[in-house]
Amino acid sequence: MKEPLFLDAFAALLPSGMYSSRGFVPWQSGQDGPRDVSREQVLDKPYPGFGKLHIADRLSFAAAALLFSHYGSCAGDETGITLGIPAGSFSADLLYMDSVESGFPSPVIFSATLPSSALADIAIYFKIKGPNRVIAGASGSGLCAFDLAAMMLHRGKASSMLVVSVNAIEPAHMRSSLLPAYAAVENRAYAFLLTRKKKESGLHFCLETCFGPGEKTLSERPGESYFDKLVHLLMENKNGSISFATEDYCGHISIEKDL
Amino acid sequence: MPVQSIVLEQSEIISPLGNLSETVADLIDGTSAIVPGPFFGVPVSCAPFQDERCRHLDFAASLLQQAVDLKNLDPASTVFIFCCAKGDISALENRGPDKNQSHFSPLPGSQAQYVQNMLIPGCPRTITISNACASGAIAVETAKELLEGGAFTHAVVFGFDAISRFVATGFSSLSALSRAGARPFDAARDGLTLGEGACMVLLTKRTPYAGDICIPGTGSSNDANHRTGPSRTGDGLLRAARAALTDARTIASEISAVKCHGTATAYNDAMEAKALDILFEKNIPVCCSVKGAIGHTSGAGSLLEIILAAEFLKRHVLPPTAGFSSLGVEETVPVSSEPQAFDRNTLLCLSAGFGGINAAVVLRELMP
Repeated sequence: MKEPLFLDAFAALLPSGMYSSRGFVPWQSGQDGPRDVSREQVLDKPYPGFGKLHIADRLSFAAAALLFSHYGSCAGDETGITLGIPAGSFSADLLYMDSVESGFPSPVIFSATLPSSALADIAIYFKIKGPNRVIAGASGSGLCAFDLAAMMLHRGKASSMLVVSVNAIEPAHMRSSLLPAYAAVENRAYAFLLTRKKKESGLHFCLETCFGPGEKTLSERPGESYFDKLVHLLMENKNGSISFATEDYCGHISIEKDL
Repeated sequence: MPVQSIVLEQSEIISPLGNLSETVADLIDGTSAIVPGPFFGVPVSCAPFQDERCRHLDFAASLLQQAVDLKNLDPASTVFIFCCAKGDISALENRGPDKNQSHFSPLPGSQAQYVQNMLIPGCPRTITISNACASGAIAVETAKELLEGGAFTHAVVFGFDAISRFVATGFSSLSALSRAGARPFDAARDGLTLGEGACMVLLTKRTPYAGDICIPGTGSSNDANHRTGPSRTGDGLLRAARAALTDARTIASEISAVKCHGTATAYNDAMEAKALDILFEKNIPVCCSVKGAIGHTSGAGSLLEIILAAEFLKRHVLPPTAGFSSLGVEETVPVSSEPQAFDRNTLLCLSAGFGGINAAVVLRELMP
């Protein structure tokens, strides 16, 4: 018998606006979706480095910051992070190659050319020291990150797991021939906090996941769209389940309000 | 019912010293593959593949496919785990429709799909781990968790990272590279040497037999300290090592040897020495780093080094730490320029990577 898990907090930066348990906030006029998220919209403390973060790092960090802004701290070695990042560090990679070709390789950009840099910024700022996994696969990367986080909780490797799923590409790079179809999707970022013990300030949704082997299907839509469904259930405070099948991952997530 | 373990069933590597048996023999002989630069215009030494064609993921994968027999695997009960830091990014370096001949994009997920379709067509689950230079160890940890969870009976873990203009200029821009060659734990160490590696291991959950190498414990952590530099205290690596020991249901005094991360940067080796000193309460067992011989093979490196460590465990000997002459850390870390024999059956592998990531893997040989 598996120990019950809880989905206790969430946040999402979607093309329409920002979603969290505090409600929906549309982008302000002049803001072109998640790419233009400002520090003040997700974090009430100064963070001078925020504006310098490359797009995947910035959106990942912003989703995590929005989640923690209403949940409270999860600092320490009992909390881990899994990151699903299908587009990897694609934009930073192209910008770094530009700097190489200009004759002045940039160490600042180079440090953002690993998909794990997005996880590092979150870990450093929020002092999250537990186990981590960076999943830079195809459409199912975020779902895989969700699965591995639940598995680590069941195995007792952490008390809480922050799951971040991000797809972030600079608009200038969206039409690159090097970008596979699974990664050429609108910018968006999600953060979910999975726990073994619900917190007073949390959502108290019991969580069940099932990610067994199954038929792999050709992806008809990006894996992130499954998280859109989950976010909408959470926004409406509804029980529900989501089945998904992407080219690299398939499974099932159910949430049920713990009364 | 016999206790089942995660068994290292088959493995092969392509390192700058050759295949697995050639690399182990050369390491124990004290041979180094590090050659003077420049590489990609950067005036530093490197440890390149012996055959430049191995820089292409498809070529390296085809060589490994010949060495590791996957033909009898049931794809439905196998998980394929690909790990890299950057992998094969030749498509990124040859931008433009006329230049780019690659079959896959530079994104790790695209590379993973290509290799999975080549090696295990029909495999239902592909996971791509990109935890910087700890990717291989984190991939092994993930494989162990999935196999123990019962959803799969086999895991194929594949690692690949090649040196490129991108990687060489990047590490150079961070002033992280040694000019003459890495000297792990040495007083005169001045940085890491880039290496290249490709490797594949087949892991199975089954009842082990005498002589099998098992993976009883894994652990990982984050320093939450710095993007590219390690924690100065070693606390993150220490936590990963302790988590691996707990997972293996063993204690530090049962560890007979350590395959260190040992990059030969000032901060890594100092941090690692502190972590070892605390973990082993100043009685550190024999240690080695292979990076003075084959370089730092990046995201593939921690998997490649786990495979090598399994061979050291079978032979009960650690190779000399190439480049090492006199101890350059405050703690008494028993690395040596000579091979070091050990007598017990449990070995600890340590890894760390950009992003503050730390990982540890315990290997154990099942004794008769």
